[in-house]
Amino acid sequence: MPEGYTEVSEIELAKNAATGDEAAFAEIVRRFSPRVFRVASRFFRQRELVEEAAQEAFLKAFVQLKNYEGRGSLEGWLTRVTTNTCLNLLRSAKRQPQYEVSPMTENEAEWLEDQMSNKAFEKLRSDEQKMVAADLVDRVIGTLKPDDRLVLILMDGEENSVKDVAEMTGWTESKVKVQAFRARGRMRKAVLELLERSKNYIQGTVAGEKPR
Amino acid sequence: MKDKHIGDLIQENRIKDLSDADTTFVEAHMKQCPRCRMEFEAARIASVLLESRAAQTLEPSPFFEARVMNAWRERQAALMPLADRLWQAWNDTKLLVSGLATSLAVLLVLTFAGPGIRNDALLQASADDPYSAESILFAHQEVAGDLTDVDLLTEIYGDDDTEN
Repeated sequence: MPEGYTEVSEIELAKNAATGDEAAFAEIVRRFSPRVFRVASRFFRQRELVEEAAQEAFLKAFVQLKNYEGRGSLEGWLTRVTTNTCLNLLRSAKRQPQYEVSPMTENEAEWLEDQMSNKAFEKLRSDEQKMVAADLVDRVIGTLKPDDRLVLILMDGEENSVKDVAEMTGWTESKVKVQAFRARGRMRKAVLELLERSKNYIQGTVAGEKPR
Repeated sequence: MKDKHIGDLIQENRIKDLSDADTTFVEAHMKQCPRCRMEFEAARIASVLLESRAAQTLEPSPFFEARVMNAWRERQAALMPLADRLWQAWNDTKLLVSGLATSLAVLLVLTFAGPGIRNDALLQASADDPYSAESILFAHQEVAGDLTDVDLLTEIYGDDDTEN
């Protein structure tokens, strides 16, 4: 445990770490792991993938630390590095988005049916329903491009402002607005497709057919 | 105004950010346009899904810091020039090598000098015992050269025939 660095300021910590000081870098990892993890969780859901992305973000941050001038907070700077690292990981992933929602489970179809009848708000409170919703949203946003996914989670999920998203991603505010506009359209289309499938699923189940 | 579809409006803004005037317009329009009603429902569900996804966050495991630092060390080592890497490797193994050399030296000393010390000690111990073979030989040192094996054994163990 690098005790000598626990009280050190962010700028000093960054300067020392940039020179290859292992204890200073370890303190950065210790101090900002929760934040970096939270950012990586926006892109990936499985713990293993989140850990890999967070680790890669820290290693990339170390290389880029010499560029940190202390104008903003180190946390904000690390958030941007992590965001870009995760985006690049997603873009370079072998498995590209399929642009088509994969078949849904019975629970998911039921959840959508409840949504349409406005019953889901109460049901969403249960942990089980939260899991169903989480599985479903991964299925939907899995069909979107990484940039769409990011902007939707940041703006519509976490309710960040256009300015905040621009800071986190390094994009211009205009780009954030355009990206959000297009992403919302694509997301809505994916949900409409899901609703259509849900209707077919329910009808198929009632008629005793094997659901698609 | 009511004839205008709501697609762009709900794409430009989050649903919960719609102004009162926009909300009134959307509600009025949806009553006469089933397609827009469906679009609005889809946007509302998308919003609920995204909020539930955003609420999911993971905490780092207790081993995460160690994992990152190990990866960092490995990457640092890989980035080092060959000469530096060899020097680093030598520094890391120097203690081990010097330890091994010391152990080897101790073993050599014990192997070659050890038995001599032990023999001298044994001889000294035997010399202190008046009945040992060495004491008898030393006592007859002046004639030891003339003693035959039988004489020597007789001196040590006595004459069995005489005793019988």
